[in-house]
Amino acid sequence: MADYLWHKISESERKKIEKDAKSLILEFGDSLEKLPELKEGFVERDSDSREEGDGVECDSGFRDLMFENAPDIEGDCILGERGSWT
Amino acid sequence: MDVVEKLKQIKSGKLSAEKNVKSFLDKIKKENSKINAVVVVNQNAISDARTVDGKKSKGKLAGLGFIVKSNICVKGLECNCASKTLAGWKAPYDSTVVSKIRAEDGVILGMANMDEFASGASGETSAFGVCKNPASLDLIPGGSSSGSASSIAAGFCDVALGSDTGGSIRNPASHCGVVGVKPSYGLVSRYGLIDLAMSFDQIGVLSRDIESSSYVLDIIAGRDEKDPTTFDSSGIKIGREKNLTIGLLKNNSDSAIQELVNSRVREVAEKNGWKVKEIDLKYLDLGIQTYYLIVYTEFFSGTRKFDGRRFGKKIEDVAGPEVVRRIIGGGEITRAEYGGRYYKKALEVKELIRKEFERAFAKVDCIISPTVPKLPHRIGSSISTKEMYAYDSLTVPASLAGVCAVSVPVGKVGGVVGKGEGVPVGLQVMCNSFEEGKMFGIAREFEK
Repeated sequence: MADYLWHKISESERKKIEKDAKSLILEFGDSLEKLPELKEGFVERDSDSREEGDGVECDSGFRDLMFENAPDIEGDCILGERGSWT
Repeated sequence: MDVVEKLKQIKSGKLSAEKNVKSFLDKIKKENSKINAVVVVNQNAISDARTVDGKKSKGKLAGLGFIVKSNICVKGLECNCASKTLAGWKAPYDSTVVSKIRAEDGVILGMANMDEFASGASGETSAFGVCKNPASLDLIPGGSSSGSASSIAAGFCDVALGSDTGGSIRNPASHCGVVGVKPSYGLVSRYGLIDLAMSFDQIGVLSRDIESSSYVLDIIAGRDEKDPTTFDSSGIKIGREKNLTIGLLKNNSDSAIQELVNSRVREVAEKNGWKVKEIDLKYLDLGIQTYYLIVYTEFFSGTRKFDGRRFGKKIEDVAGPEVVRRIIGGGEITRAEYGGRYYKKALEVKELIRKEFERAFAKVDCIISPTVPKLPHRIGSSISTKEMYAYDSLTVPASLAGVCAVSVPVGKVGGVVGKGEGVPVGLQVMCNSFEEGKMFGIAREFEK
């Protein structure tokens, strides 16, 4: 039992959530396993190809906002990660 | 006044778009602090409305005010999914639904509060504070489109957009006493929607009445090359239904809610000469388990992009308990030792449920149930995960089957609040895929 109001999770709560989540999915999974084996369904569609066209051109606003959102930039680049690959 | 009536006033010049938009912004400024339905206000809304007023030929949504759930991209506005993960993140492009609304001169007023990453059925899990239910401030508004439903109930906009994965539009619509529509899977483009579970997610409409929801859904529906799951729309027109057979779904709802729904069904069926047949859907009791196994898996997969490198913060570091539970659960399901067993099994049961709906729709024209089987709890109450997930038990089946469904308010049930006003109750009408017109025709009879 817990309230659902947002709060920062402590390490002990994280461990409890981990334990509860695992037990919940095992319970849910086991309840479905009682059913006999079935075949997955497929959705048939009239047409299954889409027109690729020339793609969508991004406007300058897109670029500006991507850079504004980035945690770290250097010149014309967004820095994804620094140093971790070496 | 429904949106079609208001549009006539705006187009005839009796009401300006600016006046309409300003009245909503004033109301939000005055009342949002006690409801917390809106998390971002569009500072350009007034100038956008003036542009609409200046046009000679106005679009089909001219001057109407829209509030958009915070997981649907509106270019330049913060689209944070009510999470610290994306706090401050501004959408760099418009989602297809927002492009369509703007193309028809609708005005975006702001972004709505929601459960964090749409992970919740109560509106409590937002990192930016709980959203309240205008119908009763101490009760949850429902979720995850909590702010969208509350905004309609509070009169903050003409129309709100939400997303529905397992009931996230219908559930809060029911608790707040408004209309909420989950379209058929594939009717509305999800391009620009930050996903919860891509095999269920649908963008839909919340409004005060069926006429408005139907009108707006018709405009945002249709095939989009940017979302390959979408189909062409042949147009949505509210049907005038006769000689119908209604399937009343057997379920375990709270008795007061079920009695209200049963009495309204009997009343409306008698008035329209419809037959009522009680129906039982096999595997209904496996809906929650099936749904959450798929949602956990797809959510885990979908959130791997929130690693804090190119934008935002790493989701595991800053998200609240429910989001973390789903990520951990999804990670567990996808572990090699299970070999996809649970996910595969859940997909099989999903297919069984879809076929069960197909069989049912061969016998009845629609399936009706309460939208939510129990009354909303008080904000901050301590409840178990399974109790929380049980709010979705009657909305999840339509999501698993991919059919369309709408929640329409049918009255109030007292007892929890005990102050005479009661809590709004929604009735859910489910119809076969792409039968939205018929669904709206049936639901409209419950508004009268």
